[in-house]
Amino acid sequence: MRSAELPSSHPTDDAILDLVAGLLEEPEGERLHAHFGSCAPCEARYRERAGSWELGRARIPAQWGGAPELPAVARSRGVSWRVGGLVAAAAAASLVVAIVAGPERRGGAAGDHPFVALPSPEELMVTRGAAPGGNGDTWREGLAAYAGGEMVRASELLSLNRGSAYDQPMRLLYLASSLAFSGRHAEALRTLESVEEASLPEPWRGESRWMRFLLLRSTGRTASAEALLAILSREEGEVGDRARRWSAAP
Amino acid sequence: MSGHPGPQWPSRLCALLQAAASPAEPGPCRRALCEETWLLLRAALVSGLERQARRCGPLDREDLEDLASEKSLELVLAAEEGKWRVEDRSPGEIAGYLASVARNAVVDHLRRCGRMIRDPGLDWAESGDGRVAVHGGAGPPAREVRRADLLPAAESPDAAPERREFTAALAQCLASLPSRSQRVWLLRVLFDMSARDIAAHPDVEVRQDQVDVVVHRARHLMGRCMRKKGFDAEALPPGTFAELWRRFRIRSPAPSGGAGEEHEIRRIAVQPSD
Repeated sequence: MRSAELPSSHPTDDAILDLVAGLLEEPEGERLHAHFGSCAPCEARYRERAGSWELGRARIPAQWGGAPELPAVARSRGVSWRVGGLVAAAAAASLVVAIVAGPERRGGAAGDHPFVALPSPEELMVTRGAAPGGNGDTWREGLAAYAGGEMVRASELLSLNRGSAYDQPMRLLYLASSLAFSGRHAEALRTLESVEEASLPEPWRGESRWMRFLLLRSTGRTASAEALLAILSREEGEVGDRARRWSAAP
Repeated sequence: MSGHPGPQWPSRLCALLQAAASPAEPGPCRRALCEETWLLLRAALVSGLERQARRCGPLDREDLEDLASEKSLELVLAAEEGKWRVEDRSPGEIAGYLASVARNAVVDHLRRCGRMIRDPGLDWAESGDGRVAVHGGAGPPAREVRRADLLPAAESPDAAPERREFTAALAQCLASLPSRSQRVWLLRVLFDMSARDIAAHPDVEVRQDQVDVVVHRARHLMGRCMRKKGFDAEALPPGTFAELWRRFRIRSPAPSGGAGEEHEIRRIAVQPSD
């Protein structure tokens, strides 16, 4: 990498980076500090680099223990739904899965996370082509685990499924969501990015975009996240309202 | 600078990336390894992005920092997953690769924003005629500075002793603050960090809504202390930052979490490549 080659009495960008990163031996560090004492432009460069380094420490990606960036209103938001009545059809050519939403407030897992659990369908979700005991069972079990808040188990089951092409978008969406709840944000984002958004019906499509926004933020892609937030803020409906509240939060 | 042995960061980065690519159990050491790798990658990319921005077009400071964060995370994850293999790469090759990553990132970003400017003459390292392009934080048009302006002006005979006295007084006043207030004051006054970033800093245990209160109180105490010593704390003369940062550089607490103990950020022991 070519460095900015100022006149030879001034440190290069590489030297300043070495100093900021703590890679210099004591004598070399002392030489640089002595120079900064009498050279305001070089000291300003050092100050900018050191500031950028400390900013990086404040913005360590969440998957390595960095602070998730949440306004208070998002942190207090919880999820209220309940799984009841899973129904499986015995038909050879089709498998019917139904998850019925209820008003009961979810347990601690959702309340502690910024992510919003995916909505439960109020209509039947029909998958085809899986016989009982086949991949359709893992799809149903994965959804049941998700609904019960067992996100690690849900992600394992949903990642195993090799079901029909018809099911794939939804399966990947729920897989991404379970990974997000499990703290595996980078994986969740990659999974989500493999979902063809246009194939998702509402309200899942909107929720997938909200999840993408949160994952972009938590993986350090703040500029992309802010751009998506601006788009979501112009939309109608629950996700649009959520985006506008987020933008308005201090 | 004469006597500088050559950049150290590419070798360190090479060793870290190779360690990140090796299979290991998740845990505090793994997390610390990934953090250090990410920080060093990010710092190198910030430097590269600035150089490319001088060539291609103005880049807001915040966008530059975000791009560096985003690209460095992609690279760390790629190294972990074995998609970016560095064991056959020299430190110089890695540095060169990062330069190309920085260039592509700036070009893509500026094209998206419609702010692409192509003017190789603005890169003084290429023009060789002593012109330097400088961009402000909010992306104003580039201004040219003659290389001669970058040379240090001759100091008056009184300047060095005055600076030393000022720095010593500032350090004494700062040392009289509680450690929590010291850190918040340093991050705000030296780097103008936002309350959100200060609260998120790993060495600061202050809630975001408390940061400005702590800053205000610390500024008040520092101002009063410095005025008693006959100085104005708000105007930092040249040379003050470097000395202050050397004395008070925020260091990570010990891994055992001993309250009040501060140690160097623990270096992850890696074997450097030959």
